[in-house]
Amino acid sequence: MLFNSYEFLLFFLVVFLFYWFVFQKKLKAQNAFILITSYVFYGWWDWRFLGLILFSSIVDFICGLKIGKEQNSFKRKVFLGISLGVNLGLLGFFKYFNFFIASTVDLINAIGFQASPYTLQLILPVGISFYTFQTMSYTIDIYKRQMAPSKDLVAFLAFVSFFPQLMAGPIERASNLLPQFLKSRNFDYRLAMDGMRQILWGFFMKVVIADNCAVFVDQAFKNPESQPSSNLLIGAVFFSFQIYGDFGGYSNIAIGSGKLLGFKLMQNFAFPYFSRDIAEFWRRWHISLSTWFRDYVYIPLGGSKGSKYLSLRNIFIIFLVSGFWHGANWTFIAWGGIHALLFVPLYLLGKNRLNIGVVAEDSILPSFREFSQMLLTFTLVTIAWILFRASSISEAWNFLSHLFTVSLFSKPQMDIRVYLFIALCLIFLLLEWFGRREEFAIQRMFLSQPSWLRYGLYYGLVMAVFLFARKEQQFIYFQF
Amino acid sequence: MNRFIIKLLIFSIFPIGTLYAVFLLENGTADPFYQRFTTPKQHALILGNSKAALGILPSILNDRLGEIYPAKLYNYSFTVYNSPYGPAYLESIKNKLANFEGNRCFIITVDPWSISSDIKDPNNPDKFAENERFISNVKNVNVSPNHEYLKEWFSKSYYEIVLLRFKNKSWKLHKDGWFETIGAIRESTINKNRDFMVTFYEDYLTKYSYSSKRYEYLQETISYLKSRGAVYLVRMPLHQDIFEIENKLDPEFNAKMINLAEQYNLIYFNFNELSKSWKFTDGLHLTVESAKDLSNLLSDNILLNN
Repeated sequence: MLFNSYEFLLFFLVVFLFYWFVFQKKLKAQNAFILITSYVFYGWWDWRFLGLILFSSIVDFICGLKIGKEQNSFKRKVFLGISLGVNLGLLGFFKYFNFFIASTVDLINAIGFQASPYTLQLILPVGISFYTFQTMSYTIDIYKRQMAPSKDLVAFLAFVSFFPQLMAGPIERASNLLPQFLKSRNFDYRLAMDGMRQILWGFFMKVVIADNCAVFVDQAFKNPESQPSSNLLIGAVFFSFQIYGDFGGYSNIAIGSGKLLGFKLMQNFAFPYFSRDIAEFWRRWHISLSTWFRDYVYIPLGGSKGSKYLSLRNIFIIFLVSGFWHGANWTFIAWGGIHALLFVPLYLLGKNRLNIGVVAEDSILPSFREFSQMLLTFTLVTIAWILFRASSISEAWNFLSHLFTVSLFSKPQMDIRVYLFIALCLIFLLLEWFGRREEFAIQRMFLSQPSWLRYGLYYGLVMAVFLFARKEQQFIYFQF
Repeated sequence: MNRFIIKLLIFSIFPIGTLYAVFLLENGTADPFYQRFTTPKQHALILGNSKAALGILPSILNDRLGEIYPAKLYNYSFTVYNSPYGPAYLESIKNKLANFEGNRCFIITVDPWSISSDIKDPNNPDKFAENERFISNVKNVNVSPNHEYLKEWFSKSYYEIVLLRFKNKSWKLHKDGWFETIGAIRESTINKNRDFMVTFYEDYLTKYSYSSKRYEYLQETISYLKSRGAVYLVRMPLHQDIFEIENKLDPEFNAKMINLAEQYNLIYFNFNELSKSWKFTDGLHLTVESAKDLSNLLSDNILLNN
């Protein structure tokens, strides 16, 4: 069941009405209801993997209790090891087994021996990279004595499987989300309205921007050698919009849906394309994942506390692992590596925390310098996305080698509608720019203006979603 | 809570109303099939695949045959993918057909593809490919706007309804179901299209095989319509190159149709037997001028046999 489907609309409507009209003020019933609906939501995709999520959750629940209760540090480590082992084991098996086998076979063949690959026909369970990370943060936080274990199994299971963010995040911290399952939730009009606005913006990003850019991206990445470079440029830039619209859109719908049910999920994107350098980009892109890696990988490795060499090693580890998290392909690892290379100079010059706040916070337009910085960052990010989009390193190289030719300045050979979507992307950017101080672009847009203006904006966005929708398109991040 | 729901409901009226208006703007310029599911039930039908959809003009037949068959013919032909004879098409025909007291006729166009299948067991109707397509899944075929079709089967984004209403200058699905290709096509393009079609159908030849089950459904369709009016069996003309491919698929096809016509006491018109030189856009589909000629010729033949 995709967010951008009529099934989800109906499903959410039923959940919303039952949740607030039947189970209001009954916390345990609300949690049980969320658990059941989340499992229905997940089972809609493939019921066979319900056992997997239940198994993973129960292991973490028990390990959490044991770690919390146990005083013996060795035993605490053992239970943490079990939790991490089970989660990483599941992730490794379902997501990376074939990759490791194929890579090993390639290596063996490369050094002159003969080996044939033994691969399994595995289906990647949707959301596994997200919920395993979420539950790992739970046991790690208990181990670090940063939170107490939950004794409420239903609330814990609901926390792991909470349907708005189950498939593609945000990867919630137990310390933020779990307590929300343990205290009563009452309908909050302002929060619900905010949620509706966020859902609307999410749909606009996904349905209008991402799905329509995808058409031209697919065209550009198919046989790049037979197209003018101007086509490839549009394809590459549109992919930047597609990936942001797709994943940012999903996150907004997830967070907005959470708000409608009385939950506050963490912000996952903070206008990443207005970043002035790569370090800022990573503070604004997929925040729940980058902070996860920061807190559970980078800092435990020593972060930037040790020698320069160790710090650089840690930077590369975190970027490469982050790339690998996205998929079992060398393209993702290379993508992570490129970002590490772009980040390192900033780190070495001590400029990686130069741009912390909102760009042009007190003015309408950015300064020339800020604009140039944003343009440069966007260009670098867009070039790196080519690796992310390509199915192999050679395909990415082929695309790049045909991108910078004289035909870059020729008229694109694309459907005339490409200009319509360039205009829509510019409108999207404009709305993002004016809303960049908020959690999402239209959060407070026109709130202090006459209501007809505000509702006119919502009407325009809803109509754009209806009119520009293509057949239900899968979210890119479901494959991770 | 109530405030939230009421506000949401009131707001919803505006976009839903606008969307409804946009749907009503579709006049056969955005989707090649949609409009056939938005017209009321019809009294007389032209059936078959895209050859009939492009090649037979109901308006000409209605003008010419109006005196003997007052029920207006409607072109309810789709494509080789969607409307080969089978349970799905028959069900859709039944849904589209209205009762009529006076005389009426039905034109059933046939070719080897319409009684063949590309599945492993060509006689298993549960596996027929069209079961997964709109012809099988759109149950209400007489409503405007048709939400069932628009939601699942409309081939484009809805904004294109508005855009193509003014911009589509290459084809139009008319209110009577006739699909018109607009504008002259250069000879070189026609030859290129034909070469493409030859390759395309030669590939089909390796995948398709005769389906006795489809033949049974063709018989059932004839029986169903014959109890309601006169039925004419028509084989549409083809370019020689394509005709040869069709005959390779089923060399006995013509004999089968002659037998079928005898069995049901029908008249069978095989327009490939005429020496007339037809013009095609791609070797398969008639140009507008040839489609008009064929519609007139078909009318002549029907009148001659009455």
